Amino acid sequence: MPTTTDAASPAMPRTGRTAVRAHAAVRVERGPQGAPRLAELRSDVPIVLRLTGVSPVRTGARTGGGARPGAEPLPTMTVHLVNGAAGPLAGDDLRLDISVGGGVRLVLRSVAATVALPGHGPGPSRLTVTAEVADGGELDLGPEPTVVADGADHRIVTEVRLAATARLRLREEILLGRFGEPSGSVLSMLRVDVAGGAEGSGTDLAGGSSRWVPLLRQELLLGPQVPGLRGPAQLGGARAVGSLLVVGPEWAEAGAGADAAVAEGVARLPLTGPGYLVSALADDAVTLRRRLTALADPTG
Amino acid sequence: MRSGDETDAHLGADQPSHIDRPGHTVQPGHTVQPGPDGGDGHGPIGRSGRRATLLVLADGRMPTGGHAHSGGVEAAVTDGSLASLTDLAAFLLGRLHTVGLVAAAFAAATCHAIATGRTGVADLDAELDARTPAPAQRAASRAQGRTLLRAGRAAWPVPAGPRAPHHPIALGMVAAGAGLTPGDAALAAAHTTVTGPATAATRLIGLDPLAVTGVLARLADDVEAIARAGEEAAALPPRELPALTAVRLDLLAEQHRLAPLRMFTS
Repeated sequence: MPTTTDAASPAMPRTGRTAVRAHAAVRVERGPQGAPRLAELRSDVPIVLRLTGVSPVRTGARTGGGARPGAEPLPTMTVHLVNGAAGPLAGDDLRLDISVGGGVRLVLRSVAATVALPGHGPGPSRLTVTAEVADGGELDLGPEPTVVADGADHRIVTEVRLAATARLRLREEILLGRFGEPSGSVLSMLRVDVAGGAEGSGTDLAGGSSRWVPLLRQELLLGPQVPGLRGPAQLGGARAVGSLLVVGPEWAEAGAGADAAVAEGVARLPLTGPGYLVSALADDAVTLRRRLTALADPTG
Repeated sequence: MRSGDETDAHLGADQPSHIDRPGHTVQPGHTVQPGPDGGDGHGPIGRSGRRATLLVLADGRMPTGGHAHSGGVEAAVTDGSLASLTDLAAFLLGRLHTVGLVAAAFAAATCHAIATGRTGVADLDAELDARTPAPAQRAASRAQGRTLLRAGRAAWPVPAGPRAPHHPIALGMVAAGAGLTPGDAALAAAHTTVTGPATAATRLIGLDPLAVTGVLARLADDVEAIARAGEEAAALPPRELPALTAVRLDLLAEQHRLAPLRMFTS
């Protein structure tokens, strides 16, 4: 391919690969029979989405006709994210839009860790995830970790809007460098809003009348240039950083909500709004997952 | 040690440490208000006495209740991660560049909001709740905010607002009442982000107070840079204000709340 043989100028990538832009989407609704319906599943390389599970299986038995929230599991669709290419690399701009309707649950997983890599593209690599969940719907978004390779500069933006009775489980795990490798840089921004204001008014995700109440705003800036990163206020010696956010109307009442809890390297933090954050640090991915899981369930 | 002219990715590498110290923007005798009191509680920017007013606000002897809080230092001492002057310097640097920037931005935004009336102080307070996942930190911040407001109201005509707002919100309210600018509020916030914990460390592990003063002096460029970044963020929509997280501070705050023996409230 047309690689230049002379010394590449900064403006000229040394490889033939140009930065990738991709916009994928997944939209799940409750079908007329109560079964989950995949209203949209749009892959865009390198973001490849695969439907991997539906429950209850469509056998014709009409379960869930009178489903009560919490009484039985919501009709669920499971979608896996398959990375169709290495990376993301510098300059890549990837976007995934998620929408979950009322009365259904979407479980989104990935088949492997994402490795953010350096590259010759312009600027950092970016992954933007937006999600909307309607009343009575649930999103369980738990991809495998993001590994920030040496020299990478990666941005993750996650924006979630939840109707008043929507539920969310959102796990994020970041590993600083591959095994034995120094870390690149990553900025992960998480913004979660819950519809608030007038109770009883139909929360229309598209409509403008409902008022969004901030539930969680977090920016994790990690990398070799970050001042004080290795000090006792930020990471200490940890190489794995993770959180699990759980949101649902059952956590709304103060006192009846989740209790705060701590264990080595992990804490469960009840938020001001209807949910809690489990935040953990560890030396490796396995320990990180174990710590997040240990405090994931306040009733267990 | 980190020098002040290092660039910081988040603050923007295009920010040279230019001369924008508070004193350079106020000419003595420049203002039209001769007295120290602006009258209506919204003193004009650049009035005389502004620098001295800022010193009163940022003075550790102002009865703001800050002496009861270590900002995570006591828990870090307990878990062994803060045991030396070097540890303290790294702790303060990390704290300043995360929650310090958030505090500076919210103090400046509150001061700005009161001056312009475009954003409600309550909205900023709710946004800060969303940036403070640890309940122990929320409680500590509100306790200090309430005490600061009480002290501030005794000194200046502080505008009405929440009774127990988060500390940076209270700082912005008091700064506005004292006729200070959003930049002043940001500087006071950045300053107290490091001075309170530094004092606590001196008391907890018996560090040499002279050496701790040296640590604070070497952080001065960083404090200025954070204050400037906070000031620049003041007019952003509340949801876009900085939200930088220091993960260990969150964990330490809850560990400390559950600790059997404590010298400091937080």
